[in-house]
Amino acid sequence: MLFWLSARREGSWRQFRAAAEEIHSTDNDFEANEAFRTGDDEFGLHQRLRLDLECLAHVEFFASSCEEGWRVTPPTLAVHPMPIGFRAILCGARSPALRERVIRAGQTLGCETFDSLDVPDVIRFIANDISALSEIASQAGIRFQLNAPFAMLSHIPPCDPPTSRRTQSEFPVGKDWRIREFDSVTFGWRTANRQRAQTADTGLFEFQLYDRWNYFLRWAGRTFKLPRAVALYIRLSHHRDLLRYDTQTRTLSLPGSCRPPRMLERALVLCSGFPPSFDPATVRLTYTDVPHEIARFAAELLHQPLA
Amino acid sequence: MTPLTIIFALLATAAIGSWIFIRRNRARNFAEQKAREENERIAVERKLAHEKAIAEAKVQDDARLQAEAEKRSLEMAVATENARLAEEQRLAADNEKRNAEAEAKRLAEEKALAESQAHAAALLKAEAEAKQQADAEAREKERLAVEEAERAKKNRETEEHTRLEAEAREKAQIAAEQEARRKADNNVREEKTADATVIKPPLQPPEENEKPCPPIYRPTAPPATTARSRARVQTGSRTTPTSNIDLRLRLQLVFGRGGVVRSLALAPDRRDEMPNEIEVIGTQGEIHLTDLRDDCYEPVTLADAGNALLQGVEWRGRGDARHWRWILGGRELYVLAPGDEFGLHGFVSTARLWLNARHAVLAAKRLREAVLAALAEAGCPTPEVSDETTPGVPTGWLLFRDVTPTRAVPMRDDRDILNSLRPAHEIEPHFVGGIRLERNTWLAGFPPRIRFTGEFANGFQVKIDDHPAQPVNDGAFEAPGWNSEGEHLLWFGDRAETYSLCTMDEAWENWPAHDFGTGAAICGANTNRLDGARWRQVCVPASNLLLIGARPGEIFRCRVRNGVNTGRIIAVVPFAPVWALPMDRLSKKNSLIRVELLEFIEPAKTVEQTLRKRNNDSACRQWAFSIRNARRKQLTLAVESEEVMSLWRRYGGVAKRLWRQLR
Repeated sequence: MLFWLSARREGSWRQFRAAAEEIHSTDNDFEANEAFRTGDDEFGLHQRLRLDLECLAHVEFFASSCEEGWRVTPPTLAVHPMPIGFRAILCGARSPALRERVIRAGQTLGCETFDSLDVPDVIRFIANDISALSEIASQAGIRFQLNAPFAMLSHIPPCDPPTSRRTQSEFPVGKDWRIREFDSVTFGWRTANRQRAQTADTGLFEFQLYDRWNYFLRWAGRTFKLPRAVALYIRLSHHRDLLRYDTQTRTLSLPGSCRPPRMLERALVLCSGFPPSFDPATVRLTYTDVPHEIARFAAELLHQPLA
Repeated sequence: MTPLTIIFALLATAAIGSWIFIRRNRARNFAEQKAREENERIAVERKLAHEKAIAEAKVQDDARLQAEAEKRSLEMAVATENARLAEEQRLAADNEKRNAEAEAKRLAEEKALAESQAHAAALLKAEAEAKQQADAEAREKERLAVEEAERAKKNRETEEHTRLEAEAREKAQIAAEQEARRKADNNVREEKTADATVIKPPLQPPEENEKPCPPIYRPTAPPATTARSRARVQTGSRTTPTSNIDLRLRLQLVFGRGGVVRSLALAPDRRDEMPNEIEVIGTQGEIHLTDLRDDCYEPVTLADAGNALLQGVEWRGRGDARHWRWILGGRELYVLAPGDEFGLHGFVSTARLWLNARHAVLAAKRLREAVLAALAEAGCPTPEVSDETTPGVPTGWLLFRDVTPTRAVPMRDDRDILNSLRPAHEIEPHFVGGIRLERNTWLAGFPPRIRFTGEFANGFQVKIDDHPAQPVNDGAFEAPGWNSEGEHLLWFGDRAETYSLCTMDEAWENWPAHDFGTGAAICGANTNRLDGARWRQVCVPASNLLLIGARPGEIFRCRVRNGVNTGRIIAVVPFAPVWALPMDRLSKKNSLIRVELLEFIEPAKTVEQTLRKRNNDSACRQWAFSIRNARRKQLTLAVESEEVMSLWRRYGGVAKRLWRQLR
């Protein structure tokens, strides 16, 4: 899929969906595995692929210059410090030739390649000296990003409540919208109605019509249209036991229904190069190899205590 | 009186006088003080009274203002309520109007739908009548043909009889003559004449259509808009616009983990002139279709699959100028081929089995034995059969898995549903898998597998670019150089197709995909300045936000965002920072405040050069002052090696000289 995206460079959402359908048409087990992995049967195949490609920094969706579709990002070696040495992850566009060049350039270092059914091959390098990683990028002709997760977090706005100066939003008009309210206790969505949405002093409401999802935060009696994750973390501000960090395993976990904002999740994923794993038993997403410093920074941006 | 007495008297007088004077002064002072205190007390009381009066006035004023505000808010509330009521009334009126319009529209649509249905019914009826008429005509023709044949037979028989009689008569006449001659001739000559008159049976002309041609199986769905071959998917969808268009609903079956049926869906056809999204009405109610590709809308999960498959599904949609109708003909048997042929995952319904391809078959329960027999006839190994106890299999249906026919079977009766289980012998190419970039173009390194279905005769040959191609382990054909970059010609039988393989251009660009207003933007894993300047990125302690470079004037103050408390921050700096100094109040007593070395770079050699190059004295002053200040406070270094301490001293020396020159 990543080769196809890299060859096409950019395109519409429809093209992406069709390609996802066609390329994964030869594998009948893919969808079943995906549903098992995420525990979410309602989520379409293309949506799951989008999330994975986006958090692995291979492709941008609905961002600037690709508002109605996707665009592949330039190939980059994303580096971050480890307890011992540095680790680099190959992100962005990829051609078969580029893949070979990068692996050949990093032969002398510890190169790890993980074949996965769900996501493009994860290619990582580990080195004691950062200049060795920089040399790989130089030889392969790709970009080099130092402290990638930290740099990303440094430019992401925190999930602050909307200020009084912020312009209010209006709920969409029409009877066909399916309205649901986020339950901050169960972290689930329950059916609501328009009157409830209009009168609630505080709350997060989802308006869905076909494949359009809109999220509205009611805050101090006012209505604001926000990205889902941002609105959710404002709603759950300073919630106890939402984020859990294990210093031994260096893992950060959070409820499956509380995915963080896109860029913040990308920073967490770039610590390991793997998308979060979902545990159906605990219904939580787990991000691996997250340094405590990064986990703390992420928690600060989400306004959550780190348990 | 002695002088002593006089002196004593004088002293006593003076003492008394002074005592009296002092007492008077004290009384006067006391009186004055008392008067002052009284004045002050009065002044304070007046002031307090004044303040109290002001406060009371203010309270009264506030109360008045509040009352006015309440009055105003009440008026506004009343006005708002009135406006709201008016708005509601207006909206209600609008709604009623809209409802009336919608009702009228609905009625009109229903009428139009009824008309179209009536039209369709009339068409169907006309078709049926035409068919009946055609059938009657065919029957009549057949009857006439039979009668003609019988007449001809009778005629032939009559002619034959006549001929035989004539021959017999002739024979009798000849025999009589011969008898007469025999009587006259000798015995030998009489025997020869008898041998030459042996009667031979008449030659029968070959009957035409003695062996009937195999009837063509016609699926109940409308004709396909796309060809089976992936390479021809796009071309097949181009159709001539018509006012009423019948389209196909293809059944899509996706297996899940553990062999269950994960989904049964209907994939509606799409054509060029059709909108990206469309509302359709059908037996399942209203459905919203979203386009997946140019030739297909997104599959829609099939509700009540058991009945729907049996009775068929019909959806109707309406565009600006045309009517569309999607049909899945109800039947008791569905053949599903690998979906990758159609660009869909799972298995997708097709007209009949393909030779040497893996299929799934859905059949009504009552057809179990017939299906198994037909599959055996087609050379399928015994398939795995699942019934409705397997999750996802529709009630009343059986699912046959791993159906791979290996023998072509001729079709039988035209109306035999089992014809779909009799694979044809025609050879069709299939380009399966790979990474397809365009219609006939794949990414080099990821070519499609080239397979054929049909019955291969002994002389069946495949060539790719004039090289004979041979099947490999997975049944796909390969030839030397078949997967090299460029255009290739595939030749088989008397047909040819082309496919191309191309490499990709690696000119991917960086762009500001996510700009959160911090002066830098994120694109993939990259974080870059918005102005395009290639500044350096450094990670510094949140306490050491003053960055110093090697050359005087290279000084940068990092910004920390409010509300986010982190141990370190990332800064993007226009020069190579050497030292990170604390910005807070510097004190040697605070052991946590330290000078951090970021990169070991010697300071600029001569201050004069720096000054000539730099016009900004202020930056140079700040540079020198910051270093001198940190040294004056005797801040400790984070890394106290001799090398680092020596470097720090050299920076101090440069800063000192620069400070003197600038002073």
